[in-house]
Amino acid sequence: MIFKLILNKKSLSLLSLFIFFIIFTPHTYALNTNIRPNGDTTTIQWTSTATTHYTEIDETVVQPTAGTTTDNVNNGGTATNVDRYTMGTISSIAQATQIVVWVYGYASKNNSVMSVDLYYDGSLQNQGTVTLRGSYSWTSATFTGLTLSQSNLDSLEISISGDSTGRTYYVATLYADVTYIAGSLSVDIVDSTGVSVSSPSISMSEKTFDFSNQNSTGTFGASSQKIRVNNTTGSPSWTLSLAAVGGSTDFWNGSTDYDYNDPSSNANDGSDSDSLGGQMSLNPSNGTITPQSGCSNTGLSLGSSSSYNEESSINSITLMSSTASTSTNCYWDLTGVSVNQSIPREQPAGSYSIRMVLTIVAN
Amino acid sequence: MNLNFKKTQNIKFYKLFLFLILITIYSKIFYSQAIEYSGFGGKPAFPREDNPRTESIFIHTADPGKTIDEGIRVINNTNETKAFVVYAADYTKSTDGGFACKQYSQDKKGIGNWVILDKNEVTLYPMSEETIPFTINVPEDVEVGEHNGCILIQEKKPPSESAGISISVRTGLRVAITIPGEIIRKLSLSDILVKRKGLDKLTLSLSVSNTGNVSVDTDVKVRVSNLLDKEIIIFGGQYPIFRSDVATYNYDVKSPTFGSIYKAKGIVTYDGNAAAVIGETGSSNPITIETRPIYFIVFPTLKGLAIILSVIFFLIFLLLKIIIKKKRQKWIMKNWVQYKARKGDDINSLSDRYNVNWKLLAKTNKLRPPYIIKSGDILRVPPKMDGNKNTFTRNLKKLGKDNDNRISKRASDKIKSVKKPKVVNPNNIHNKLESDFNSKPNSINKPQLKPKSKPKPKTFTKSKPAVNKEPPSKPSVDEISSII
Repeated sequence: MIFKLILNKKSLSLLSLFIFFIIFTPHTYALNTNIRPNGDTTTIQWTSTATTHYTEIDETVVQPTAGTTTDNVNNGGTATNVDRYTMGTISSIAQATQIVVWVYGYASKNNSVMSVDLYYDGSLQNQGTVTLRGSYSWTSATFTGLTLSQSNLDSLEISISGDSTGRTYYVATLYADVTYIAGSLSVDIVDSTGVSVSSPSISMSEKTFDFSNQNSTGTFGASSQKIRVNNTTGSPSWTLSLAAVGGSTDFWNGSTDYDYNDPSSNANDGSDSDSLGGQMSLNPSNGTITPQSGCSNTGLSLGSSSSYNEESSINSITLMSSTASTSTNCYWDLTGVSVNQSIPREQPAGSYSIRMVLTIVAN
Repeated sequence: MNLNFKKTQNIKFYKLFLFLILITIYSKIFYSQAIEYSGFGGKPAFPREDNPRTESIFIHTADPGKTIDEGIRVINNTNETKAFVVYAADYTKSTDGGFACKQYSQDKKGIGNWVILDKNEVTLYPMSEETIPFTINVPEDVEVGEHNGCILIQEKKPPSESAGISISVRTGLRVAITIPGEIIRKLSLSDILVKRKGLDKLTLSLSVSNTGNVSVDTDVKVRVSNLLDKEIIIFGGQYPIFRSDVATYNYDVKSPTFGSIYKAKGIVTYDGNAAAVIGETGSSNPITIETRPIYFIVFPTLKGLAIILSVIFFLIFLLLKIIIKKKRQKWIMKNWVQYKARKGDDINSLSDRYNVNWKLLAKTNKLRPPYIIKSGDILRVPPKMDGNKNTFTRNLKKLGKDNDNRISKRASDKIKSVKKPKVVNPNNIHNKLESDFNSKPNSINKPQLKPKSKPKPKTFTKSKPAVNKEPPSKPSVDEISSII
């Protein structure tokens, strides 16, 4: 019976549509913030009840709550008159993807179309319209598919103008609801296509049992596991470093442990707190930084070749760091950091592992 | 019939169903990849407008015993719902003066212990964020100066069990708390070190020590100039140098094509005002300190080296050529003798007779095409024949013993292989030109004057040889020099 029900065409159709919409419907978790007019530009041709026009329409009210109608701006019945305002901004965005301009107004004739245009970087970028009714009401123009950067949003201006001569357009309140992705500083290990690697690791060269101490080598930041630093904040200073999860007392875990931070020669045990030998060295200076297209490596520097050393308290090795002159809203891929681990003599054959953490810190 | 139709319809339907499912899965994968913008991270929830650095790090000045209310925005900009662990940790220095944070498992003695977060775990949908409030409780017995720590965000997931080095990632925000009192802002510099990285690359290393008790945002520069003090490049940037830390900055110098000797000097500028706050610009007491200049050699690149060697070899070749010419000129002046041209002499016959290249003979005697030799002309010729070969050739061989003159010999041999000149009767030329002009103007350039049977050009003596009783004047050294 259940089987029949499942195989029923209608059920299957509904099920498939359900799955399709559930999975395919875009996520709606992006952030929204309202920005309001905060200044007049040189294009101010409407009539205002005050000297500055933007102060008449920058009320903190949000739709559907009615705006204050005692102060407003109007086009005086001339379609060619344009009012253009500078807008507030949102700090540290990665990208603004949608702007909805809400207008609380009316026109002398019902259903009068009013142009609402977006300017940024000093020029007209997007055109839209709202339809004003014969009495005050909220209406909106939606601009989707935007890819505004922080600087684009910082320079955003909104203009309004009536479309029909002889009709007077009144606007009491105007604001823009901006949908954006918050900027963040992050580090990740990504594959050659830029997709996050679920279990990143550094493979070290295999070694056979040896009566002498030996070295195993590897590369952190292979082409299939690139270290990607992404900074979509407005702050350029950060440091990228690698440390063992267990700190200075950590070690390579296996049938017989060995150390990662003992500076004694020939991978012998030194005067540190444990009785293990072995030391790991990183050489970031041989690495390569590849910037995102359109970005540069200005202000970035690779760390120098260093070894973990418990006795000298070297528990963290800098891979890369930035300065105040480094770009923001960019990512960089670091590849080719060579890793060398000295292994004590007569280390039993087996599988060994150590957990390390890659940290990026805004500083 | 109906059954078959129904069956076909069902098959079509299931195919459609399968197609929809596949499209859905594909769309999900495609969509997931397309919307991924960046990773996860955090930001201060309450930045101050007067200090832009507070948009990325936490900066406070607080008296001992004070509690500061703060908040961190935890941001998930990935396309997956993720669970994060949020925790505070103490500062630890990284190599090269980098800022790092201690691990979750390590003891917290400083700011890692002062910070108390409202919650330590948060689960966030894709492209979403949450603010976690926290307090910073400054202890009563805290030392004056700046104290640094971190608030870190790390994805909560089980560790990898694979062999080798398993990597996890985390993002941190610096927390800088300054305890008022006797604040010291002081830096010192050590000399620049030059470390070679292969033949055509080296690293300039500058170390800056912070001997004060607060971090100092420092403008670090390494100025590289040539020996005339003309600036070639300036490395550097603005770096925070932490309390009691030694920061080392490495800058790679790539060789210019042709290499050079350079001078490098480290210059560091910072705000010496004790009241200065991180992120606040406009120094009231800028202090600049410099290192002693150091000089270093940068070797040329392989390409440059190849060019330099080529030029050197070319110059040596030119020099040798000049030396050989001079020697030959000297030798000719010393050994060649005067000869009065007789009837029937021409350049070819003299060349054959004296076993010398006709070009050399012509050059020495300033003869120009068509190399007419008049009877009675005084010429310089090699000494008399000695057997089959004349003294000149023999002496050339002798000269060829040393390196320079081997080249001379080769040059001489080469000259010998050159075709002999076409010496013609000018009257014939005139007649020929006249007839050519009358018939076919274009044929003037054709080798009409080439002898038909004999390869050697006919010689021509303009007039009877006039015997000159006076000894012919010997060509001066200058005259010979000008033609060789």
